[in-house]
Amino acid sequence: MKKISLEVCVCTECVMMGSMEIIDAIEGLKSLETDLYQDLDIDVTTSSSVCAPKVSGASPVVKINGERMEKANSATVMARISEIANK
Amino acid sequence: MRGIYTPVTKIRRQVFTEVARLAYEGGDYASRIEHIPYKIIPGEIPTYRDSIFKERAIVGERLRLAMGLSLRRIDEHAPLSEGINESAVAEKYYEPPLINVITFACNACPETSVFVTNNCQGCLAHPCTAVCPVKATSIVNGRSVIDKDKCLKCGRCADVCPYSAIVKRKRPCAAACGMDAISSDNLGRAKIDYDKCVSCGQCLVSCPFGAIADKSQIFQLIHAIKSGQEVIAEIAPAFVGQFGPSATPEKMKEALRKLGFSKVYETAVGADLCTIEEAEDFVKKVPDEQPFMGTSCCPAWSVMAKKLFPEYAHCISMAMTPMVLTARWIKKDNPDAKIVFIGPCAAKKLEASRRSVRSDVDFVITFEELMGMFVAKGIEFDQLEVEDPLQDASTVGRNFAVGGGVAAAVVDCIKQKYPDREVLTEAAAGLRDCRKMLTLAKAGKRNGYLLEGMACPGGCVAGAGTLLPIVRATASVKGFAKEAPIGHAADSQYADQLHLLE
Repeated sequence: MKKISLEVCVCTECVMMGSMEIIDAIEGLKSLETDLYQDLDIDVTTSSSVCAPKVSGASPVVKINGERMEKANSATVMARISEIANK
Repeated sequence: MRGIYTPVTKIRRQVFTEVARLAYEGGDYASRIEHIPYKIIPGEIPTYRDSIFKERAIVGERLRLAMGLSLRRIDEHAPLSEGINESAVAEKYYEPPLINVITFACNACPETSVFVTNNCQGCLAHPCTAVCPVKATSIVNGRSVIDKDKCLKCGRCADVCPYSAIVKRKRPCAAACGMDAISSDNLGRAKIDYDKCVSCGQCLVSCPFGAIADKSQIFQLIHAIKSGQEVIAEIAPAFVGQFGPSATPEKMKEALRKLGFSKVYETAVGADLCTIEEAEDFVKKVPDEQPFMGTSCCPAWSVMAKKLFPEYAHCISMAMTPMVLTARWIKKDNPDAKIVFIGPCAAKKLEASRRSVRSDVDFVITFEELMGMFVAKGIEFDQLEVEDPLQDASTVGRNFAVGGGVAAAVVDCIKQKYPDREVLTEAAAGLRDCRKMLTLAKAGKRNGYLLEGMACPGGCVAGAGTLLPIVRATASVKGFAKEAPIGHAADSQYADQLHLLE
């Protein structure tokens, strides 16, 4: 079982710029019937300070296994997770 | 596309944020607004379309609409700022129409077309030819071919193709329009027939090119707040969950106070009063005075019903909408305050501009526009320390926000007061389904019914001005409704005030 921690920023600006939709996309992965995500344990957590220190234009910000990703969206986050899963 | 965050969503929200920021910061608007398109679309390389100049021009028009200004003509010179100082006022500034097509952003999608893709296998059965009512489909050189001149665009061939090789493609805006109000201009771009449009806003959330937008009132609202007048908010029950997990209902009052609202009330109070009135009306009038009764709260539904079924206009409840009832209830004790309705809805903007309602509701803004104000003002919900729960409305009143909730509330109220009275109900969501329901009612097949109509598929939680995916929003509202201090509308502590609000 590979563990991946996904921290999603839910400060006001990150929510407005789509962080909730990223969470929905990742939670939707669990229902996919593909081996890629079967032995993956993705731990999604939220906090309003993931994006701190705030950088203009960076929202939404997520951290995948501690690695900061700016201007994230469901496609870039899912791509990074599948990369880790394939390693 | 609803509930998926796309570049169209992103630009729309950036525009609201920047307009709110502009209003809060003030300064020389005419010069400052010229810079905003460069802030939203930075750099030299286009991201979304073929040209960065076009991208910025479209953002420019969106900025104008968000400030309540009209679109500029394309064939005449006018600065982006034209009219901006006239619109920088502390009261509503509204030039019709509400819903606008930014023509040069429109993709000019063809109106409905049916065509064969190269998925066609030229199969032996080729059921596409058998079902065509006008012999437009035939097999030529081993492939299905549709004669465009004969084709009725019924889509039967597409329905039966075993390889999904035939596609019926509709324009997304027109497919979303339950009023069939969208046709084409001379260049094939979407054109709204304003005699038909009821401003539900479904076209603007369905256009994948972001070419349709409605006008906003945040610019003027922020001026009203800045002018020092008392401004009071009433917030529709669909708000729960819209602003992220930190924005709990307990924090909403304080967050709105930080924006400058003096007080905050739930529109669900008005929903309770509306329920009581509709329950009494139904018991009194159906079936003796009218064969059925339609609910009144969704303005796009009630305007549709009155436009398309004028002979049954009297069958739509005369009860004031929750927005108006709540506004009157607030104004009773705060006669000089400006009232702002914060909701999920585009059509409410139009409802509040009606002559009979104008004096009650001063501004209407959507959740998405409010989010822009929160971001512009830097409000962080988890830094708010005051928790001040909303405690005025009932479970059924809060459930008005969810499809089926209005009829359920009215039935609940009738059952409580008149336990022996049978009530049949039907709820339709989406104007196309609403029209079908009324067509059946007109044919006499819904006699004795309470008919709930909602223009947005899913109810208010699916409104054009929402931020949250519909399924999630529905669950949030239902959870919040369960926590209400009272269960039934009739138990509202404000029930005795209903007669004072007429």
